Amino acid sequence: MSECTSGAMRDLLPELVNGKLSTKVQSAVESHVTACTECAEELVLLRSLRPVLLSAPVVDTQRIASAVRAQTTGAASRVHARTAGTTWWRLAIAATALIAVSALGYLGLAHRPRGMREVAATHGLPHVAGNSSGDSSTGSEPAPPFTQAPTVSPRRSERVQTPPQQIAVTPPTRRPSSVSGAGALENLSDLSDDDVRLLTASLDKLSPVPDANPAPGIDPLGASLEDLSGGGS
Amino acid sequence: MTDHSQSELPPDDAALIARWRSGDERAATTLVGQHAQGIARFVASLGEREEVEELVQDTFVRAFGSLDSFRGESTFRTWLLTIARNLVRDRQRGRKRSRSHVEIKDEDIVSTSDALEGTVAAETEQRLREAVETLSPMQRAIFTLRVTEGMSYKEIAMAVGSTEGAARVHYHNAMRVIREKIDE
Repeated sequence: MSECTSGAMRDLLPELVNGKLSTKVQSAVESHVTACTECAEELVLLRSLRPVLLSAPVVDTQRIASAVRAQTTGAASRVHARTAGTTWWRLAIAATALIAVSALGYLGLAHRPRGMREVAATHGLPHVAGNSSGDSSTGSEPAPPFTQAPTVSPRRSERVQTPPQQIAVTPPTRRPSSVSGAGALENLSDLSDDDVRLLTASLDKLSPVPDANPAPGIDPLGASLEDLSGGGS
Repeated sequence: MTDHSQSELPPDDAALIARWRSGDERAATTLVGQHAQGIARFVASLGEREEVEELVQDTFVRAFGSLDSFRGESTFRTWLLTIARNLVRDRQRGRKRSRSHVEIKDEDIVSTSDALEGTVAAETEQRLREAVETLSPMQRAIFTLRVTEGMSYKEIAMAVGSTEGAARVHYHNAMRVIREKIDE
């Protein structure tokens, strides 16, 4: 008996006997067997052993199948029900998640203006939406430095791409000046030349000597003088 | 190199399992018909002779009862063999050492004279049976799966709960023992 030089080929003999090799591999193994006495003998032995091993025992598959069906009746339905239940719950969870995300998105949009005002205040940007009158009595919000600036809320992409300082806004317009009233005197440095001339002219018209009988309601010296006079009599 | 796939179900088995899962209990009958005989041979090779049919039946009952846990990581046949092996082991443990020794009885054997005629003499056939009898249960189980099913060592290792290398060693040792027996 010649010694087999190809263990790999010899290892495939059971697959050859059972017809589990591809055509190409089968041809290679068969060629090896024709040249290898040891493998040829083993192949004969395997082909002799296979029917012996296959022969026993014989079982009644029909009886086994009937018994198995009897014992597993309803098992297939239960598996099917479990599978269907799993699918239903997955769909329910997905729908709930979708609704929750939608609700959060809606709430986010509903509160967006407040967030924009906060952003504008943080960057010192004019924001006059709903406050175009310049009323500074709105609590902690700073008085708008400009009047009637357009309600510019740059879109998100613009905010991202453009620094806040470079956002184009309407050039500031001066508050209409007034020569009378305390408000006009609070910001003299803001007055234009025309305003100053108008104010000066108005002052020139005033008498440098206080009126002996001031008009009612006008008390240039305040209540302290009246208290003195009243107190003296 | 070989044609069998390690991780894919044969199309027939996969389709039948899907049908059974969808509620078609007739698919179970077909699956039993395809695999019962192979499971019976395996059970017998492990040393069980008296209750082979009952063990095969229990194997299928357990398999269909836990088909949810079958992920297709092995073939359905290998999975069934694994269940059968566990059942045999449990039964053998329960019986301790009171089980009957494995014998291949003449009445269990289908006449194979036609298949052997012209290739192996009847005397040789008897010697082959006797040679197989001398194998240990593990050797016999592995040798039977390899010769009758053409299963790979990896599949065999999964079925018998061993390693691929150990399965290869058992197979070659079995072949050596059988050769020695028929050469005596």
